Amino acid sequence: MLGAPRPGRLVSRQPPLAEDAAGIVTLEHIHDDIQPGDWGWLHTTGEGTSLTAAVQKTAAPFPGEEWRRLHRTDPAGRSRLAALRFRHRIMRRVREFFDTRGYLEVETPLRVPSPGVETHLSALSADDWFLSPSPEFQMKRLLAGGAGSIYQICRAFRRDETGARHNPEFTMLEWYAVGADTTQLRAEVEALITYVQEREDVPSPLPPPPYPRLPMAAAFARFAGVTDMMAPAPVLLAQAGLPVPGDLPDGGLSWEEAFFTVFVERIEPRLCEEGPVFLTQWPAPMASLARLIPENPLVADRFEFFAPAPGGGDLEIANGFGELLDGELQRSRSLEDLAWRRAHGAPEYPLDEKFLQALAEGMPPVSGIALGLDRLVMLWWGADHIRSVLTFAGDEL
Amino acid sequence: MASTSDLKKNLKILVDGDPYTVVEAQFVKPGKGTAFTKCRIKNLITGSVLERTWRSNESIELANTENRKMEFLYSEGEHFVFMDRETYEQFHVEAEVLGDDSRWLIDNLVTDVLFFNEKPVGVEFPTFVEMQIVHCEPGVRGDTATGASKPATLITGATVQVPLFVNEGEWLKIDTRTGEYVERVKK
Repeated sequence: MLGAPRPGRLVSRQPPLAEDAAGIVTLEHIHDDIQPGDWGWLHTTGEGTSLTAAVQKTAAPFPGEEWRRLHRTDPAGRSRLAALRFRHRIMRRVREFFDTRGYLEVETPLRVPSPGVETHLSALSADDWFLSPSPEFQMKRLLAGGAGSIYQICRAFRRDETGARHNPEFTMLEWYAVGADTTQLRAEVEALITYVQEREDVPSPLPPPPYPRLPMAAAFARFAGVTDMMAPAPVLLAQAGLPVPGDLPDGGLSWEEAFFTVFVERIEPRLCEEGPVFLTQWPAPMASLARLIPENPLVADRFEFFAPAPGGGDLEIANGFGELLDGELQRSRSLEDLAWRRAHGAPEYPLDEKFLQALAEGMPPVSGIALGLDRLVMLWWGADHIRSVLTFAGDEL
Repeated sequence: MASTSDLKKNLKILVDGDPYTVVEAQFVKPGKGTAFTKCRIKNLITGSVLERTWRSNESIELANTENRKMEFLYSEGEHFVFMDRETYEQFHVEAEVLGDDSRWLIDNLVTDVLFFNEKPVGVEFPTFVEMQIVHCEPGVRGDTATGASKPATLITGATVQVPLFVNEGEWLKIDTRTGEYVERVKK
């Protein structure tokens, strides 16, 4: 019964007896101000029946709600605390992986003057600045400064994103491989998974890499019967066999809305039927901060990694770019996004001029990726809700 | 009107003119693009379950539904008459709303009646009801093990299968979900 303090109760003083979850323990000495019936943290030293204990007296009933929250077990008999210990091991292995590969671990500020102007992003404000939805701008400034390959494990904040797979505050692993292309970056994602799989006792639901690469256009053809993913909204919906909402011929849907409607309704449910997959070559309008593929400028050098979700369907794990190096092009894309935000009544955020300046000065060729660590842990642990792998979900604060 | 961020389990919504309850709602936002809420919804009248996805900029129409505790009074032609236990208001519920379940309607039974646009559209029975047997073959003593059964007619005219030891005039506990005998009860 040696070990960390645990909840217990003094049964009697003659001889001193106490009980904890493991049953009755006999104690040779206990502090005088503890009375029979008192609850407390039992801190025992010694062995067998000759234990001595100090008891940190607490109010009854004890253990309380906090203890129960961490120790309550799921249907598989595993507690939240067990999930947090598992999470700790995964995080340690991830750091080890990048450290052994010569990456520099960096920490960039969480409160930033610009959250970026991506169209579907809503930022949480922090005084007159914002909580960072992604460390991308600051990490790229470090790249422009010649930091070399870098990684970061940090919090990212996105407003209005709550659900079984989203928490407005989540943990992101972001890394940049200087000199690497996205083919090499995908191989590095696989190497990371292999590294952790080989060192973790909890079996991973992911089969060992490699995983297939599927261009977006091929996914549209295979799962939705769409021959051209760039076709106008009504064509996309009709080919995918989806109804056009409302009275307008295009349902009032933009191309992008129709694209994602097909994606959500037809592709996502089947994308991971045969296991994890890298979905590559996203349409150029979704390039975001990625470059276009030189041989085919209709598509962006962007990929996402999807894995089968514990409850069925798929889970989006990571988003990677062959990074756009052209500062002027990045500025004009940002201005377009800003115009979209204005037209759609979304909050207008300032451009990050220092980031754009850094790009203009010149960033080395680099591929970068953001990976949702909570999701990876959730997937591996077999949890169907993200809260199972967080210390506290929003509604537990 | 509500927004997709209101789509949570048990929200009552209007879809294609019918009232539905949300069984499951999942927020998805693939590829940092348009956000969606994928739902499983259950038709409150027919009980059928559908999958439906909404874009985050779509608005959701709420269903004007209400659950009221009501007591069954009597039947009248094609209608059953219920009374609100709080307001003493009486309502006629059409026989087709109850369907087969009308066989569990004993006098003064308290049920949850679902109103949609102020009209009763569904009646939820208690899981268990207690009813008296008006007719069955005489009981066979001691036969509790074979699992053999016989039909028994209850006070409402409903028929259930009961074990052989059960007698006419006895009271039974019935599971309204399955229509099966649970046990005898003393009255």
